Amino acid sequence: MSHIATIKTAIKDLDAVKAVCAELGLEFNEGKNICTYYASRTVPCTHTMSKPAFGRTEIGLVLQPDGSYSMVCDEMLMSRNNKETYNQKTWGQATNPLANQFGGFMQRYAVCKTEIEARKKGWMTRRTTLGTKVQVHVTGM
Amino acid sequence: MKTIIVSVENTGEVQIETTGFKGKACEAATKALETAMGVKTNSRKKPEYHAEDKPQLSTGN
Repeated sequence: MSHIATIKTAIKDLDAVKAVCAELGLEFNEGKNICTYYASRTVPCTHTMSKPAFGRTEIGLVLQPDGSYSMVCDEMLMSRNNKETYNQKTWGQATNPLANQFGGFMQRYAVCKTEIEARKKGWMTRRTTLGTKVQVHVTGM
Repeated sequence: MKTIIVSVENTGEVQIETTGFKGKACEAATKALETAMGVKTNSRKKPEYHAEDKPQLSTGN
């Protein structure tokens, strides 16, 4: 290897967000600028993501001045104990992509974004999981 | 074989490694990817990075 770079992921690409939504079974609501929290409370946002299992509660993307998006949602959706409330097969304690400050969602975003960027250049990708880490091997350059 | 390995932690932190490259070609290959992913917080060069920059010495045999 010749160099190693460490990157703090920033959500900037809505195509990658849509790819994450497809993997997680979320519906992407482009341009929906009101994010609904529990008990019909709302916060302003730029886009929302929803899932039937959430009921009316949504995840919001908020456009920042630098062109990246921050994420917002009701604390209940991020809770590590939400498996009783929501679909325990995909949103259980260990697999909730919203837990740990959206860490799982950010991981999926980074993986999907890597695959999108590689495809643009005609490169091939192979995804592997190593414990909690996901690796994308990019070849064909 | 030239390979870029993108490792993503469950916090979203990304580490991009290159293998099989010599010299600065690795940086050219990953530059767009690094920019697209977010903000670079650290970068270190491996010995191979300098491989092509050093003159080849003949043994004279």
